[in-house]
Amino acid sequence: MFKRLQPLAALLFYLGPGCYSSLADTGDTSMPPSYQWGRGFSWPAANLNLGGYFNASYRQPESLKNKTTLDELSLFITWSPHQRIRFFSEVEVDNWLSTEGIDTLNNAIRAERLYVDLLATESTTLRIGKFLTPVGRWNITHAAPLIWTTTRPLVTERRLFTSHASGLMLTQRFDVIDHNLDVSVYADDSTDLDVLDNELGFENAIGGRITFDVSEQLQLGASFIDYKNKTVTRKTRNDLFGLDLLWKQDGYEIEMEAIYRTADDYQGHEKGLYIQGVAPLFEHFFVIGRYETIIGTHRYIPTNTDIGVAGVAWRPFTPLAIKAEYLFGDKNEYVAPSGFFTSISMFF
Amino acid sequence: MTVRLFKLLRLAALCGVGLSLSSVAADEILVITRPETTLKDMSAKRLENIFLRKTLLNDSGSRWIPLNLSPEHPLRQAFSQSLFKKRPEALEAYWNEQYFQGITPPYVVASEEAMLRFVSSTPGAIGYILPCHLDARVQVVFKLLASTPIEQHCDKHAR
Repeated sequence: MFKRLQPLAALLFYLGPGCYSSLADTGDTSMPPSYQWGRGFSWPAANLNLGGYFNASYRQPESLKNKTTLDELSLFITWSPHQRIRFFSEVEVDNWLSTEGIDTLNNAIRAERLYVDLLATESTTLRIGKFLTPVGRWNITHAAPLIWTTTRPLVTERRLFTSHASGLMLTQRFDVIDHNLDVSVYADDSTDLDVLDNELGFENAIGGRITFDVSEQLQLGASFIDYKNKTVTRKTRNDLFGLDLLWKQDGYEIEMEAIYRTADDYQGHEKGLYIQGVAPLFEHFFVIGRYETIIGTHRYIPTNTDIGVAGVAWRPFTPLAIKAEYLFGDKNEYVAPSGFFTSISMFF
Repeated sequence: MTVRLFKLLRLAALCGVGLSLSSVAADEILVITRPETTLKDMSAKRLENIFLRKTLLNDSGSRWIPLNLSPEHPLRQAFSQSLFKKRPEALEAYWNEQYFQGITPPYVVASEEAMLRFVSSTPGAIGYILPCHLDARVQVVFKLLASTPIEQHCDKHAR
């Protein structure tokens, strides 16, 4: 693992001297280090920020055992050693403690993200390292304090596409009549580059994503990825196409993602979508409704299911979210069992 | 269209009601940088991207350091409404998302005088003040029209 980190360490060492000269240039030393709840510890003079979040849940699926889990305990480190360089890491302890036992820290710890952004221009960024696979919106904003439900829609599951990619990603922002259009293309070589990986990831992949801010309220996105998984049983190449939208206004929100995955006959195809609505009930309380459908071979199981989620979320403070929901469906026993789910999550 | 209508109304107010020139100028918010900062152009969209920290570098490849006043400060409220059409609190969900991406909100300074001091001494810093507080330490790179009158804050939150 440390061998794999060597190129990154070499890059940071090489860029090291630049950091101190840039600090001297900016004279940005008058801002004292500070901590803000939900925004982490910030040390402006060193361009360093430390933060993170946790999520704990109670899950009561009708056909399975009840479970209380510390799902995630994440630590973020952001460091900008040079004005054109931004280093980011998220190290996560995943499902470490639960009512079913305590996992070893070695098994539970993982590098969720570990990358360097090279800011080529004000609108061009090259990302090198391990990052969240940019398919749809959910996967790239999946932190529990950001999302509205404890359960995750099937079309965003890591068994459909791996949630991380390791390699290079180039992002270019265009200004289209005063609207941002972001285009990203990326190449993954997880076989050689992934670090601290506990999940079954890509063997390799190439993909792209486009997002367009249609208005202040509406964002549209499209994703494509061609990939091959590491697992022996899913060795065939897959192509996945996705469309997504997000509309937000005055506390109301509609989010939708639709995907189509195609592979050879052995692995099968699947298609599906979710559409989720959020409405404010009263101060800091929100009601959430979600409909999901998935048709095809999901996790090797021929699936034709419809799922509904009805829930509430209480966000008394910006960094804190408390959620409760009931999930129900038709022919959903194997892919997402009906039941009651609740969780508490917080940025710190 | 709305901007034109607003300009017409402002002109009518100038002629008909006889407001002084200084009071009209106070309804603008001046976006400021160090005089040495070179900019090819500045637009409301570019400014929005800088203050939302979507754009991190300026024309010369240096880091932008956007500054804010505290969320309850009347000028911050006016700036946020004018640039983002949102109150500062309404952007908290956005900053939550950005925090997950390792991007934190602009630094907050205590007053317009602190804004002037920091901007004038820090390359890449960009902030905003009322016209009545403008002095030679900084240059104006953009003017925003405040959607509500803010001239009364010239003395109150001066320095």
